Amino acid sequence: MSAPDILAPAVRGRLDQIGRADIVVGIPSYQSAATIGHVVQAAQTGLAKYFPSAQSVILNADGGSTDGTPAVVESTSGPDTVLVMVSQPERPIQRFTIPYHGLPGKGSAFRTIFAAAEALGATACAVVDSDLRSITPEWIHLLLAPILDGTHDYVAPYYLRHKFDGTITNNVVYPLTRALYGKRIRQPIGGEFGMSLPLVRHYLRQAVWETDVARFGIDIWMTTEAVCGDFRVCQAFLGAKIHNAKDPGADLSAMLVQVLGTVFRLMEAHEARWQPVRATEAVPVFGFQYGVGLEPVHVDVGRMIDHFRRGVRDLAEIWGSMFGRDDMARLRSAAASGGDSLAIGDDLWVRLIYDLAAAYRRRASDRDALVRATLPLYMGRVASFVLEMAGADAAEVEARLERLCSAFEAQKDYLRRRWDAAHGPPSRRGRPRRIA
Amino acid sequence: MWQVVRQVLEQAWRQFAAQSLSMLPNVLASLLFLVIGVALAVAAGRVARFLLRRSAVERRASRLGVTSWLERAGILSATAALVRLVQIVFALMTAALVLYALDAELAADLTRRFFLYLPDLAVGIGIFVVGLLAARVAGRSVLIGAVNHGIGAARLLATGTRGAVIVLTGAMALDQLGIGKSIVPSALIILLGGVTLAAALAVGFGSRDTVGRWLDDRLRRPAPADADDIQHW
Repeated sequence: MSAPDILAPAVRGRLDQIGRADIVVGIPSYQSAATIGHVVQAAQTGLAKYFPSAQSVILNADGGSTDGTPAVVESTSGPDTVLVMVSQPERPIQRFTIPYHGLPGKGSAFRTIFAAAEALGATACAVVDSDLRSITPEWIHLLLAPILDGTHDYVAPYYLRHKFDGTITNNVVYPLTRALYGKRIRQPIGGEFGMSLPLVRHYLRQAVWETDVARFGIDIWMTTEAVCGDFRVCQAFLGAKIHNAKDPGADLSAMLVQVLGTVFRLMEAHEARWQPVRATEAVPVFGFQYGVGLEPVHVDVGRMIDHFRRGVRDLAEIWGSMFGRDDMARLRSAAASGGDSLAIGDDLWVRLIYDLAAAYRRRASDRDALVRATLPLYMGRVASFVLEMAGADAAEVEARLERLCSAFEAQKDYLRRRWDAAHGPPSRRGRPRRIA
Repeated sequence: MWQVVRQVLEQAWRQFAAQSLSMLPNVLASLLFLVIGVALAVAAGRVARFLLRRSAVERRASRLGVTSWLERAGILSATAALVRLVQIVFALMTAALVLYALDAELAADLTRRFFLYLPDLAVGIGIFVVGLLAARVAGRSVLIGAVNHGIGAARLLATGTRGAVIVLTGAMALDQLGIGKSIVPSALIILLGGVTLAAALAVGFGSRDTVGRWLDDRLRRPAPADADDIQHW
């Protein structure tokens, strides 16, 4: 489907009026009236301050909010109200909201933003979440500058976070994607990205927009596609990431399925790419790195351990179909240990994740149930990590994560063996498979 | 008197011997069919296993997702399932030939009735097999969901779900086969009614405190798994 087909006629008309743009900043949103005003203002100020001569468009792709989110976007005052400005914008910044079509989810919102960016011929496109409280105008500069100066095609965020935040990123997604594809991208599912027009076009040409990627998993998909498509990748240091309180009704197991399911499907699609990778390389980080104060995080370790023990007790049959007998014995032993001495070591954890990936590949249907069944295991690992790092500072935690990444890389041969055994060696190594 | 008894006995023996002798070729032929049929079933099973292995059926089934469905039904090998199917076909053919050899008229009648019953049998078996698969999937979903929501009696709930689905589809299959058409639904209604009544009485009267404590203990639901301040990603 071409860009004009993706966009509604009214939106196309508006884009035709604008003609062309140098920069598009996209903000996907749903029920974000409380925070989106700040995000829009930061984007406007960033564009006016750092790219005053560029023709810029801020595009809000809204998923049908009923809390007045689009009205907040329309009514947010322009950069002329900002008191301290280094420069005034030479051209007005266009700003508008459009509803997106297709499957409900962040991915469909991104598709609409990408289609608009392509239609406007934008040299650079950035996307930022609508629930951010810590975004500053500098974020816009950092996400777009490496694209506009022509040196990079994809800018991933690099945040400072509390040592116990981002546990899926820290314990699974970062070390796994790093070991798979060989690029040390610290926040592969960050939520804020900058992209060049060729990369935007590459995304739009992929046949994933009617799949689960359109609903969720878009962040890891974008990062992986940028790496596997040989686009030039870098990171931007954005300081602290603080966003609005999460939805208390959100189901963590569903989130785990969204993230890990997409990672495993991407492993199938890009098998020819990750199988030969045997070393990792640093990805350049732009921006001045500084320390920031972070909000304290309360963690109820006892509840996590209870959850883990329930899993060991009740889900042994399902886990036993994925994990080795010795590892099952180690999990039982960990569950039987006292509360504060629970430990799921790196080697065991890595094998479990690799076994899960292979089991996901082997099973053709109802694969998500496998991932859902591992939530207690994940909670056990988080509890183990929190107990181990209770007295550690940020640098020590980062060093600890580096050791975990080394364990993922060291055991990659184990993954290759398990992966190949799940279906036999791939017969079409040179041809990526379509994500289903 | 004794003379009459002796005549009756001799006559009975002569008739039995004559009829047995007349049946002997049929019995021998049916035994021959049985032996050949069993041998053919075993041989066909081996040939089928050899051919299925040569054609990598297991890998193809895995790729098509058939293996995971079979696993859910407790069948660990697609090859073994197909071999067993071939052997069952041979066994049925052998049984028909044995019957024909013994009594062609009776066999023809049974065969006719069997074929008339076959559609109902196939549908009944189909209902039950689908029920087994659905029970396994539903039981596992309930188990995972209950564990992730911190419900203590997760396995009990999963077993109950699995059992309920199996009982329901079993009753539907029996109804399709015409077995106990009036008894099975009545038994099911009585069973469900009985369980509901017993639970209501237990909660409402004598075991109120005990059941209350049990429910509190077993079904105590702690805070959702993501109630921390922690942002998981």
